[in-house]
Amino acid sequence: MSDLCIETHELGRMFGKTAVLRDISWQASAGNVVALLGPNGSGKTTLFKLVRGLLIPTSGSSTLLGTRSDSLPDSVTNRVCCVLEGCSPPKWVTIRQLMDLHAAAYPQFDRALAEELVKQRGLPLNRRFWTFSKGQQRWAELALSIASRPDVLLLDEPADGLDPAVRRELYDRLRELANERNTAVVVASHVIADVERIADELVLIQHGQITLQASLETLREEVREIELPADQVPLQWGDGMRVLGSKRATSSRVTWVRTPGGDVDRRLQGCLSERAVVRPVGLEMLYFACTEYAEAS
Amino acid sequence: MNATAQLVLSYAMIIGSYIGVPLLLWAAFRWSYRWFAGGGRPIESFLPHPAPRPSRTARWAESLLLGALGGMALLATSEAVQLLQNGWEPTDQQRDRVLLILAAHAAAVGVAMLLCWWRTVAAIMWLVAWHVTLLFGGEVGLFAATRDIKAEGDIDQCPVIIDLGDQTDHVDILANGVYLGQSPIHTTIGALQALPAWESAPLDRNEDGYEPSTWSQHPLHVSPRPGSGESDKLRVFFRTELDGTDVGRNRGSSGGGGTFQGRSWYPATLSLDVQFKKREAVFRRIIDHARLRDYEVGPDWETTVASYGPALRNMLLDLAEHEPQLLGLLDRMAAREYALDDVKSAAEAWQKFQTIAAQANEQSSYATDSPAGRAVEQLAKLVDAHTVADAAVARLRSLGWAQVGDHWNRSRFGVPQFGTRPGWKPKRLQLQPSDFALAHLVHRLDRRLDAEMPYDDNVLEDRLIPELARYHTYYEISDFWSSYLGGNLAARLSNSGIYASDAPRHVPFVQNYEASERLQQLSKLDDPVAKRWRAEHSRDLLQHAEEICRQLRRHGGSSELEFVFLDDPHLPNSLAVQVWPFFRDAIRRGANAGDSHEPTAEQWRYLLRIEPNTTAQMYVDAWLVGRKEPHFDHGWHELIPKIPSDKRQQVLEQLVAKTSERMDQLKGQRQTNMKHELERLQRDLAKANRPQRAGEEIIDRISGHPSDVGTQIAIMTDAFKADRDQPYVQSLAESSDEREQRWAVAAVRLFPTQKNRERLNLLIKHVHENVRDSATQLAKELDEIAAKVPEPRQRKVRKASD
Amino acid sequence: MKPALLRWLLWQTLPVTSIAVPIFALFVALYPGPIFWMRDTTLWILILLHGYALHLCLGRPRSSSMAHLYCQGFSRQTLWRHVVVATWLAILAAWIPVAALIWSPARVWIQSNLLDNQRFFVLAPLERSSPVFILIAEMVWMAVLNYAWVREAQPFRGLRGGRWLARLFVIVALLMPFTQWDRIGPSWLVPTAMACWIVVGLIAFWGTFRLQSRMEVRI
Repeated sequence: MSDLCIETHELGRMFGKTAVLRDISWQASAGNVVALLGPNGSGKTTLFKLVRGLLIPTSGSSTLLGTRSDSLPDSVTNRVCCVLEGCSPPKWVTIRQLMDLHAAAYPQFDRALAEELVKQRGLPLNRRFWTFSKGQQRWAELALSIASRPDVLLLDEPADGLDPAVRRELYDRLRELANERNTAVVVASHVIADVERIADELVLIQHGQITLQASLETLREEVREIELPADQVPLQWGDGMRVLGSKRATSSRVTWVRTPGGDVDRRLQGCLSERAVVRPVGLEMLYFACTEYAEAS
Repeated sequence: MNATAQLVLSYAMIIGSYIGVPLLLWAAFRWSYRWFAGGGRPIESFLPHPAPRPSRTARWAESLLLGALGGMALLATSEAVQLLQNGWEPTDQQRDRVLLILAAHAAAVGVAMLLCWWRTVAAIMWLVAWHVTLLFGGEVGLFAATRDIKAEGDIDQCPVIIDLGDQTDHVDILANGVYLGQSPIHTTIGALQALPAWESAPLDRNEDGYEPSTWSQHPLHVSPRPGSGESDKLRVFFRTELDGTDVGRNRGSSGGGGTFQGRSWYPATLSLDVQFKKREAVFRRIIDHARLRDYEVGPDWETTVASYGPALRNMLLDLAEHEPQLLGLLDRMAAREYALDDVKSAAEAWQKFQTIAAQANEQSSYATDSPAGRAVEQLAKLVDAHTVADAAVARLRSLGWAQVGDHWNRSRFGVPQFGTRPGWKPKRLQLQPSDFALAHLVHRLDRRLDAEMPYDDNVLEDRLIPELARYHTYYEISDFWSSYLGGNLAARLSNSGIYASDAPRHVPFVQNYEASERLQQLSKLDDPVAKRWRAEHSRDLLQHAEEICRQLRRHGGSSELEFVFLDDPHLPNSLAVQVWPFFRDAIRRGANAGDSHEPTAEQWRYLLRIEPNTTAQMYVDAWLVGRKEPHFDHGWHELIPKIPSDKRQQVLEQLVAKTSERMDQLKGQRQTNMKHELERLQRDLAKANRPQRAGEEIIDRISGHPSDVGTQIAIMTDAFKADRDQPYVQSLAESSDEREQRWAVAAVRLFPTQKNRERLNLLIKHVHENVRDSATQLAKELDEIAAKVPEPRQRKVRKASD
Repeated sequence: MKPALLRWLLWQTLPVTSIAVPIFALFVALYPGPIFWMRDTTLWILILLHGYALHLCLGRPRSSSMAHLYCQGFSRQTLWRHVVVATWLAILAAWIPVAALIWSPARVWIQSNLLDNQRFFVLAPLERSSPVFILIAEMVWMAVLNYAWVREAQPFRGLRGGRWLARLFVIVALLMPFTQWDRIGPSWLVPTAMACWIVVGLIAFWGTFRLQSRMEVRI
């Protein structure tokens, strides 16, 4: 059995005359946590919906656990959990009712785990949803998703409204899920620091297209932040090196460069003067480099 | 405007109203839609966008949905569709135009279904536009299509139907000397206008000189121009002949029509009421044959009876009311004609009934007294009630509410005419002859079921009464219930036990009186359950009757008292007997106020119905009430023979005495009138003094009509009702008085039953020569009648050149 | 069938059912004449309103609660099947008390004893089949509404056709009592109309079944 849980091929979606997604070709494997990053309106939620089969693609195709997303049978859907913005449960529902629904939907649903997760945050099972705070509601949803023990878990802004402790708890649980149950977890979030803690892969979407797709490990190895005095320019970027973005300050210029092929620092030294400062890059800075300070090329 | 121009205009109206108006509306809808969709400004484009593949399902689904919804809406809105559904029979010219409209209907739905493949909203708009045109546009096109295109001169084409009313025989009809054909005649006003003009009827001549003319005038009133209120009288003299030998004696006519009512001419109708005396003599011979054979007749007799058709059967049926053996003969004829002996099961009986009903429709005729009617009566003993109920319910529903009350509340069911008259009502809403057959079957079956289970539910009542009630207000169906079904309804009404708290409702024909609806219903219901209820609530009914009596007025009200006679009025403590004092007082009050029409006759009729709970004095008292204005009160004379013989003499003696007293107090013409009345009463008294006078009285009455066999038969029938065995014939025959013996001979002539024929043997051996001769002659004549069945009717169709 | 899902869906219809039951029961108890499904405008209005309210509870494509369900681990077929069954059950829940009133002696008793409607028990047998017709009528109406819903959630243009079809359905449904056509029509008219209704329902049902698998959940 292939480890590929999600696979899209030149996936595209138009809303009227607007192309929200274009040529998205992407894969997610079992046991991986994928961070789906991108600015607001870049198409992350649409991508989730296309993958889950809630929307029909205008072009290309998408498969989930080996089945086309637009005709998912129960045997697939009951292995996929999806928590999307705007798809929250009705306000009249109780957590117990939600549990019943999850139990009906997911054969592997672990009621004990669900109860444990919910009670851990002091949420009574029989209270209506509207009596909870936004964060509590979100936690209940996420807890039940985790307890459903899915093979694929799609989370759209899961940490929205959660306090730091709960966020930590959530991401620990997600990591655990990926490690222990081999679940493919895809998280779209703007809280990059949290994602960075657990993500294996990064997919960056901008303007409906994937601009960066790699494992976080690779990126840590290949991307460097280079600070040069403002009046100095690099000699010549080596073969395969790609400038992701750059930022001009009053006295210096910061450039983010990806250097595939290993031995990054040595190869960079050959292109830079001694005044240049080379530093490793965190995910948050990488995100900014690729979005805010991206090179036009 | 000439006919061609009218035709062109009508087509233009059709095209305009079925294409132009919906198109305009559609354009308006589209513009409005675009305007609203654009938020106050029309949106830029209304053009379709190419849809991706899955929309094919949507297109198919929506196209079919529009077809079904559009079709349904069409059934509801299109008057053209309804016209055809209702069996409207258009002329060729009208048919073409209506077909065009129907094609337009189909095309409209088709266009919507096609438009759906472009834009569903546009298709829906089109359908709505189309139906709005139909629903609120009044179908101008249909008006144009169905309008008879007639110029002023077309009055000539207005149809005229001439028939002989209830007589369904084919009779030769001549008008102004010209032979028109056999009844019913379908002609036109133009054809009648073209007849030779006669100012007066020619006198007929025989060997003795002239006799009253056989031509009689029946004017037709026709409008010279469509829609005008004017009326022209068409003078036409008619003469009727039966089989070329029997000339009809005119007794009157009825008819009307020939006016223009918007869409078409209403046909003029003329029903001639004539009497064929020769035929009536033959009828009498045929009936006497059966009587002399003690109703044991062969197939020849049946063939002869059948050849004379409904006229003879009607007479047999009238006689059969008191001579049930004739009914048996009619039933045997029907059984043979319809092979009823082969019918063994309910299914076969129902199949046979359907055959009879279909035949009735084919022949446009059905009557309870026809062989078909008699057959239905016999089939009622076999058919399954559920099957009949299903058929009746289905037919009631298809007929709608308009017809039921008019026709179904009669004890006899029949189509008296040669079919239904064209142009009167849509064919579908007219009762068909088969409906009368079905109603007849239901009626007989209900009686059968009531007899079997008087107090239990009966499927016909259970199923039909709600169906009827659905279309009627409470009162409109009450008569129907009373005369027709009842039963279960009555049971439920009486079991509810709360009638006393009912809201009061006006009692028809009785002023200033309201009573419980259910009390009124139950009082009239002719049904075993209602009878039981009435026995239990006699006090309430007495009070109800008393109130009705208190409010009785001239020309109405007493019919509402009929219920008192429903349950054994002859018993001493019957409701009718108890109500009598109130009725009497009501009549007296009315007579004093000048409201009562025939106070004596009204009271006497009542008293006769509660016999034997009366006294002679009651009759006399009742008579005295009407003496104030005796010239208005004559009906009682006819009732004298009906007063039981033990009281009649006493009553007449007092009447003679009182009249005599009164006569002395009067003068002039009033005294003369009173004298005539006294003489008549004295004659009546003389008859009443001797029982044998009963026969004499009958002979007297008959001799007053020497050549009118019909009237003789009527009198005979009346006498027959009084006593079927006719013991007075025996007493007359045994009398020593020659005159009375002659009456006996005459009575035997009138009632030639086998028993009377034997009585004649006494008279043949009589000492009086006159009696002996006349008895011998009569015996010979009767033996001839008994020996030979009269020939079947020889139909002779006259040629136009005759 | 998944009882929890069915319960969930029925729970959504509970507000409508709890309002509809007393209203319908009162209407039927107090209505003085026999109830004919084709004849009574009020009845049709109740059917249409109830159906629309149920539709709002169950079939609003843009509601977050419905989207939540579509995000759960159910296939489209499973969800659709349960929505259909829940719709039917919700209809039954609202009309069964009505049917009980009509089929039991209760309505006759109320009309005769409390409302003094003396003729009603004679007419009562005429409405025996009405509950069945009412159920069919509302099921057809729901099928059309579901079609409109699914049609509107399709990924192609011109999405309002279904909504307009539902409006046309309302017009045709009200046209029948308005024109009182079954009174004047021939005997085959009412069965034909019934057949047409059922055909409409079946077509809408078929269309919905075909289109629902490609329905989009847009919030």
